[in-house]
Amino acid sequence: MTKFQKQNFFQNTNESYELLPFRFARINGRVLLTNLVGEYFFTKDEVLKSLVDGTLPNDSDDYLNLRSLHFICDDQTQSAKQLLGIKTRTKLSNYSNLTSLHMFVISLRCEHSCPYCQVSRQSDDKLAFDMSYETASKAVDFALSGPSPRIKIEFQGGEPLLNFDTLKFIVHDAKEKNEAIGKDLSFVIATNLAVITDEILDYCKLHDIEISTSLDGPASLHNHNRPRPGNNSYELATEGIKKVREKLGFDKVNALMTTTDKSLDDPRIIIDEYLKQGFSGIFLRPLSPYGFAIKTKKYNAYGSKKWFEFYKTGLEYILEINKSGVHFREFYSATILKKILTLKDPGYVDLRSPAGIGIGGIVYNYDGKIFASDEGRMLAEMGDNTFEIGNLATDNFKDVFLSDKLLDPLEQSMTTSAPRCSECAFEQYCGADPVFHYATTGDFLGKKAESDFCYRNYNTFSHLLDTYDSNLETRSIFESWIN
Amino acid sequence: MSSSLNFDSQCTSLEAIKKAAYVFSDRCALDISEDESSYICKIIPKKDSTIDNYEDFEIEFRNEVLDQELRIEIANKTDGVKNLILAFAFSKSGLSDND
Ligand code: SF4
Repeated sequence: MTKFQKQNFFQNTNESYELLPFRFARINGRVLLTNLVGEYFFTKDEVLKSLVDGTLPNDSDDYLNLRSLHFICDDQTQSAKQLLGIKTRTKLSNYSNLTSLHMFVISLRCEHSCPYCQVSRQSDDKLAFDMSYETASKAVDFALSGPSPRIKIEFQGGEPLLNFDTLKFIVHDAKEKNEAIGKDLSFVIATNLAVITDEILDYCKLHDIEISTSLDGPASLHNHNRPRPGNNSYELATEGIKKVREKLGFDKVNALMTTTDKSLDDPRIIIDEYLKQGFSGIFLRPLSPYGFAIKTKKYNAYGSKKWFEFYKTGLEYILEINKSGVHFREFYSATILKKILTLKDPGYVDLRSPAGIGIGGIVYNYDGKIFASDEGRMLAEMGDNTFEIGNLATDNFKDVFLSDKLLDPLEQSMTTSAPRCSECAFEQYCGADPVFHYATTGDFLGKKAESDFCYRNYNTFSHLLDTYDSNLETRSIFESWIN
Repeated sequence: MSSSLNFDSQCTSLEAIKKAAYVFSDRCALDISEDESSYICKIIPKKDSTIDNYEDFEIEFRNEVLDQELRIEIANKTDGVKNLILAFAFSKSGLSDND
């Protein structure tokens, strides 16, 4: 007696099959098919055509693969529809826990004068640009009143450490109020580390606060991007990274790079710098189109095409590093691959639809204004308040989350109904970015044929899937990044 | 400079042509008119875009129209089952009439 049925048991006997919803794209001579929940299959043009014609032989490997991946169903696999329904529900359930990231802009003051930053002020006037205890307390109440069981409070600026008293107040206030609520509460400080002290680090140790800092590359590039008195931003950042690791632990500090047109010359020197500083990966970030970049029209000067070449060169270099035995990740690729290869949402706000604004992360400005995203706050600094969605002085959680100011951009930018996105093979992995499209085109949806956001995502998804599917060694490196 | 592309209106749907035009809207606009047997598409290149080679562009555009036809066919064949799957997904969510 055999334990398993013979293969022909699983073959469709009535020779007809039903197509399940799917989309396709052409990548380097192959055809990529993706289904309703983001499962994918590479095949040939002839297979696509016979699949749609209804003539795909039911004893072919393609048939069996497409059936097991839920691109077709036949009389033996009618449960595929329910399974797709359950997977769809699982994916969408990620959205029910609104807003886990709460960004507190506790001071606009900063001792750096980075040209692309629109928000910072070189000022000693604490009253004018620092968050008060009263506003801070209201922001804590607001953050804790949402449904998310996990709350991450991120201190931002300017340079948030210039208002360390309010930072301490918020940590104590949030912990105290949370005692009765019981959410999983964590804190992170986004700082350039220039003014970090032992006292601050002792406090961070006591309250398990993590540090997120900026590292744009080697000294010449970092100091070019981040002018400050003494021209020593790089030296202070790298000394600060060492100090944080000594006091709080090696993994308590991570670094983000800001990509400028000067960064694009050679990603390898930036990656080498991250390796030198002992980081386990790098996020090859696109430049955001806000602030200085929009104002000076520098964004158009380099755009997504140049960024994509930078990204591809960087990724290739990182894969070589991994092949030589050093585990080092590219976080942007890892995030996308996680979306493609698992049902888990990595929570990256730019790759969500409905968009991540407000419902993925929310910003409390020093003066009590509430913004749907950090980029929305930057637009407001340039005189456009479209993404100012409330005020801590007058609005509660429900007021803000049911307001048209938040719901309109969310509804109008959904990819499922957007022209081109609704037919795109990558829609399941992609996201809506209403702030980007509003900032660059004046409407929340944007025209995808002309969108830098679309160009970047379409090409990155194609490149990653093609690379993943073409080479076994690369495949196992990518898999190690998402596990 | 501008050029025209003709499509037999018996074999090609206007919807597919329009969808293909949208894909290329970063490079050109399409002025579509119709006579008894064909759709006539006048290509109007955008000021800052370069369509260097009209022959290559025509091949690209015709292939895109074919892909759009296929997408329309897939959508027609799968829209019913897509709604059924979404109904499963939203059942018991309190959002559907049958809960
Ligand atoms: S933005 Fe572009 S890549 Fe993303 S789903 Fe829409 S068409 Fe596809």
